[in-house]
Amino acid sequence: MTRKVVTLIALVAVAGLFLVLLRLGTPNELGTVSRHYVERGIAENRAANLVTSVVVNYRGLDTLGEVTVLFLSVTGAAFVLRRRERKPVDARASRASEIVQTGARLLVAPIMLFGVYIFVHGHLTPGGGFQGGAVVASGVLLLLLADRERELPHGLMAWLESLSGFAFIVAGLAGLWVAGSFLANRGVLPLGEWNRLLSAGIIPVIYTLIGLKVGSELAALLDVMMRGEAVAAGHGAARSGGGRRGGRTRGGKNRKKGGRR
Amino acid sequence: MNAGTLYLGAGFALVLTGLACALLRRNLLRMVLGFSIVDTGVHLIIASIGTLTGRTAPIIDDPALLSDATTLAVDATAVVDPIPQALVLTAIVIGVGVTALMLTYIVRLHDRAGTLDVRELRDLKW
Amino acid sequence: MNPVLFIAVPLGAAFLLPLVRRMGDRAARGLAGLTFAFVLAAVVAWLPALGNGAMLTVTTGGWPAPFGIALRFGLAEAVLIALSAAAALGSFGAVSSRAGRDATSGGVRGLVIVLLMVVGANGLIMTRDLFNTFVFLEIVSIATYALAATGDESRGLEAGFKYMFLGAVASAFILIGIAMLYRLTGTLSIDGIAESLMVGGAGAVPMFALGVVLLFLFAGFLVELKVFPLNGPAIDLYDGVSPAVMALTVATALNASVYAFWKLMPIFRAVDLTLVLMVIGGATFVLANLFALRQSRVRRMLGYSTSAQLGLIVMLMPLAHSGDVSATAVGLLLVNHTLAKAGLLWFAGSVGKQTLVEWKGVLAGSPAARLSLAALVLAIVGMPPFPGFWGKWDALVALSRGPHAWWIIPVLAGSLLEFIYYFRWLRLAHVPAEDAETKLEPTGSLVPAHAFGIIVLGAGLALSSRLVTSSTDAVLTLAGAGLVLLIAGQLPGRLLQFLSLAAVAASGWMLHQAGSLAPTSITGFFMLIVLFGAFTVVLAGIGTPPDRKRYHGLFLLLVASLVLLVDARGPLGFFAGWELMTWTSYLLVAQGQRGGRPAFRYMLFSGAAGFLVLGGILVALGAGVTTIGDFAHLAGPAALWTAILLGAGFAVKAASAGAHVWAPDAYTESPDLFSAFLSGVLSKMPLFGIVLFGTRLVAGADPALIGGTYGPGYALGWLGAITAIGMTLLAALQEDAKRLLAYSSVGQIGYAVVGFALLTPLGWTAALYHTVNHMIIKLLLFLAIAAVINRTGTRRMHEMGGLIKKMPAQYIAVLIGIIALSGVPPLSGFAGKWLIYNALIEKEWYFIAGVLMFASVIAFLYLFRLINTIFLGQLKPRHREVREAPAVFVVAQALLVFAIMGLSMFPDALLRVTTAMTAPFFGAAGVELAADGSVLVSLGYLNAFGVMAMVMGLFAVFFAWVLFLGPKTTKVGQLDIVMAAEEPPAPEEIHYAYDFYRPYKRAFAPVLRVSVERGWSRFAAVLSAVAEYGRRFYTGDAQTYLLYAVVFLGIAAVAVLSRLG
Repeated sequence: MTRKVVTLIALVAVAGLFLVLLRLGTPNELGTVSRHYVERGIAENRAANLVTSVVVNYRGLDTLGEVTVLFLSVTGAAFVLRRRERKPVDARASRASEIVQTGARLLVAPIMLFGVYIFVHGHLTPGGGFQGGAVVASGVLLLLLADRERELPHGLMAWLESLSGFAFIVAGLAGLWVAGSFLANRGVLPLGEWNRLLSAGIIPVIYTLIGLKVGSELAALLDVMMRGEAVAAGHGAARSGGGRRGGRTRGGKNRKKGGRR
Repeated sequence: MNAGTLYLGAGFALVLTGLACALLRRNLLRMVLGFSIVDTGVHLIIASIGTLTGRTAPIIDDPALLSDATTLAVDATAVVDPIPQALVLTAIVIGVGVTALMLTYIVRLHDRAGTLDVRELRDLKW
Repeated sequence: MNPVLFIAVPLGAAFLLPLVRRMGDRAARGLAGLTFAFVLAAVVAWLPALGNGAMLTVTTGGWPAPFGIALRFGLAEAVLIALSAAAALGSFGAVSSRAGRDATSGGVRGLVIVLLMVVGANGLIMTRDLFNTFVFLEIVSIATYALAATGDESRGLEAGFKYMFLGAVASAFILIGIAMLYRLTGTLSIDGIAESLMVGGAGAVPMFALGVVLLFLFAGFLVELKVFPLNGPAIDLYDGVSPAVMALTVATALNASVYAFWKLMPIFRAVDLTLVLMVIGGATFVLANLFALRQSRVRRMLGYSTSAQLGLIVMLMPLAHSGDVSATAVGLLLVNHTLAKAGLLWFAGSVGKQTLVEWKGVLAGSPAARLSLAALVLAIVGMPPFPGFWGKWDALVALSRGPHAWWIIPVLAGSLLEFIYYFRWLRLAHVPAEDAETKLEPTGSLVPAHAFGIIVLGAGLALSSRLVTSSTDAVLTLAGAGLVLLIAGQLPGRLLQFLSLAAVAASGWMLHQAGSLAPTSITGFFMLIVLFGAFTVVLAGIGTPPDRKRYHGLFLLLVASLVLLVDARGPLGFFAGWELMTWTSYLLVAQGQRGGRPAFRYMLFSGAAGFLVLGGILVALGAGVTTIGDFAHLAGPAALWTAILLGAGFAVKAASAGAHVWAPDAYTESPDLFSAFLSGVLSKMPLFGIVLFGTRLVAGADPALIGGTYGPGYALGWLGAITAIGMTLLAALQEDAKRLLAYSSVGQIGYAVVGFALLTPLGWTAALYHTVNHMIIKLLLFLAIAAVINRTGTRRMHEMGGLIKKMPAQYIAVLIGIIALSGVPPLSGFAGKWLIYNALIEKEWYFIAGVLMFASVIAFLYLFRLINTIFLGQLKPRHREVREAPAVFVVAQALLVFAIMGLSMFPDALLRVTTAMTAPFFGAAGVELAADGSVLVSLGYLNAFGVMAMVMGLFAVFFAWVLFLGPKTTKVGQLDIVMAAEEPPAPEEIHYAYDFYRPYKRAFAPVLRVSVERGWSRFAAVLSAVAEYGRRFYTGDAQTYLLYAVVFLGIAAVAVLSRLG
């Protein structure tokens, strides 16, 4: 009871603080930095989508960090679940109806294509690597929902995940090499003509890499979370020589559980 | 009162709702749900900061938006602020990462303890 | 080379690792190890170029700030990145531990997370962009959440979830703050925001709203900084997660967060958060240290300690930002904490014991591990020469000179609490093997812990160049020899003993060359005491079995610190020497067979004494003093408080009544030779302090104030007198020879304290004379007892007896010693006591004089027992084979006997020195010394040589009569005892010497019931109860912790906003 009262009072206090902030309202004009981005953005980067310009170039380090966070949470999730036993899945419950399965198979290719379209056009239209990657992963989700037992192409995903991330860094280092600044755009690739697919220098390349990275990352995350014991892309102890170890871990766990009962 | 302020207010309201949920609900999943609501509220707050009534998205796919076609300068009064949109993108992805990790924790906690009640999670104290 | 590589390289490695893993685990480990090594090597190679304050700003994206995200790389950043890489390498080295294996069991995931932790920390350290700060903060946070699932899984999961839950909401607060700051300033560059808030001033930005915005940012960050009241989940994390992982987070996530917070200080300055930060920081430092007292689990204790130390840093941060405290000092505290805490955590992780009880005795068999743990503990509590000492000293001095002087009190109080639990831990780990249930079976490598111990020591030694004095050569010789002997403990014991002697002799010669031995100067006088004592004890030591190998090195370190202390050029040198003396002597006491508990107690009281002394020094420094000579210029309340605090500190260290409880055990349980040094020399150091500072304070004081009968010294005089009589009485009731001498020693120091308390030239002359005399006598007596204990194997007097025939040299030594000590003519003690009585009567302190005379009478009771019980009476059958002490030992004692004889015949030689020393400060000499050696005072005169001649003549006559004309003795068989058919209850009961003064015990029963010991126990119980009650604040409930955070936000809002109007 006391808890609830204290909670309510505290929330009222926070609400009071929010009211103060609300009275500030939203701005009526662009700030100095965003005005620069808007006025000079096209000239400097030739990316029609200014948000992409900000995300990939001006604040590229944030985006690298963002990709890192995603990579980290997938790795972390797999790490946390590493000792989890794989539950035997009831075949009927794990598999959706024939209609859904066929529908899913039909839809996956267009969904993925759409995702790729989004991140390839990230510098021209709304969306980009993250959005496109999420769409790609949603295709994978559809497959998994239709059939939980379905084995994903882990090898391919691992390569995609690792190399796209590494290539992002290489692209950043190219900027450092050419223009003396990490993730710089100018001088690495020709900037091209504004509002064309092949424009904005290295931005679409990076955004494509991000799309691949995010897509494989989110797919791996779904895989880890839906199936427990990680067999997700490239992290798997169950792969290449880790199998014995994984088995031992599971055995040990079982013994422990038995002992407790 | 413009649209931006309305979004801002909605964001604050979401944060408060989420906080109440996170503070009062004893179920781990609902606590995480509360956090998710807080996070969504924060995203709305960030997005609302960039709102400028009557302007278009910062995507310059129409030469009409250019104030000078040779220097490719853009009219600063035509579009909304691109920065908060970039920030909110990052914030959303980070939120996803944290939420995913929280949920995996709950999966493991449930495996081991067989409960989702936060009051059972008090082995470590004092 | 571009510092952005410190982010890009580990990140690239992390991305590649899952692929490299396909080539095998070893390849993956190799890549990770190489990456850490690369970062570490590159940063360290860069350090020299940054030493002069060079600062490198690099852009990303090709645009300068505020359009692109800028990174900055200077000395602070380089040091922090070096620490993070070193810690990553260390935890990498610790992978052989159970926790480490666990962290890598699922393949490379653990390594990937560690790499990303380093990425996040390095980014967080270098970035100059506010939103980028948030991104990197999330990286280190998520890496911490993920790694929390190592070790014991259920505890780790619980702790990790709580930490994550609070951390996630804190991140939301931070994000709200960042968004609104962008709304207010239109930029995200930290420098840009600060500038715009400053340039814009009150008009451009609505202050009230700005205050609210900053509060959200602030509250979110404080969760990361683990300060009260937001530290609950963080402490659970230490409890639940494997220590190796926590060691990594200390050096990465925590440091980087602290530094990020520091970078935001210019923004926070827009509203004044100084007071809020100081209050919560100070509260954290005191409370977390208090709650740590009740921890039975080592890891949780270390968690509280982390919180506490971070609290201190948070408290000092706003002052460092405003320039009131140097930022370097705060940086030193942070670096010290990182190195020591990471080392301790690795240590705890490798030893693998969870509770304090399980730690009991684990290190008994491994001297290297003991030294390492001791070094890390000494570093974390801020003892010299470790960096924490310099940081704390600079910070405290700055505080004392600024408007926040009162904040010194919580800092010192918290530091003392910190002493208690750390040294308790050390004590348990050092319990000797036979008491221990367990032996050290490390589950992992101790190498990282040792390495960080060495690094922190090296860093500290590098900083110690501030202590250079004219005696530096001697100090370096002694300390260097000490360290060598400590490390080379495997050399033959005899060699170690000779090397010690050589080092002491060499340092003495160097001091002589440097002119530091002029006896009429205060420092020269006490330097001679130190050297004489050290030389005698080491010389005697050559005659004893060389069993304790670490003893010699530690002893030389102690002598080095004493030289440093005595020859100090300023308050810093004095205090550094004082604290060095404290911990070196602590370790020596702990070397005793059962020295753990007495050493622990010794350390607590010495620590308290140290902080009182520090308090006194800080009062003086706050009043503008810079050198010791300046103490003469103190006046008014500053002088009074300096005198009170210094006096109290020295009184505790001198084991004055009330604070004496540490002394008997410490003297008794120390190694036998060290007991002699403890009583002979170390007990003189508080007296040195009194003389050093007292002379200046007296010289500067109003003559009317100290000239009267009942001046400021009267209370101290009574303290000394009570000590003298109380300890003498207790000495008489002891069965243990060393314990008896211990009480005697403490009581005798009381006489000296009375002498100094008089504040008259005669009193001081007498006290100084007594000091020297007591040193020689106690060295002699303790050495003699040490020889007897060594030969008989017991300390209990009733188990000895009749040793006069077996150890005649020791008999003579003790006989001369007790005559000299008792203060009867003709030996040296007489002159000392006679002078003190004269001084007391001159000052009209008749009552105290009476008490002291009574104490002298009681002293006969125990002195008599030394001779009677040990040397006279019947020889025990088991002592038939006992031999005299070795020749070298007797030579050392002979030196002392000669000194006593010389002093007995020519006390004027010493008095000439002491008079010359004190006269300048009082403007008058206490005694007049006639040409024939007579000592003249206002009430009479003493011709010591004449007295000696007379007594010796009478003695010769008496001796001749006994020898030639006396009755002949009859020999009786030793075992002719009849028990009259009664069964003796216990062997002790029928020994005449056991409980010898039972009647007196009964007579004094009401006095003896006043147990100071019990008083201190009760105090400890109260403190413990407070800690127990207080720590229940941490209920363990995740939501309660979140509620604390929200309530804290509300309270902070009221505190900050109310001042904005």
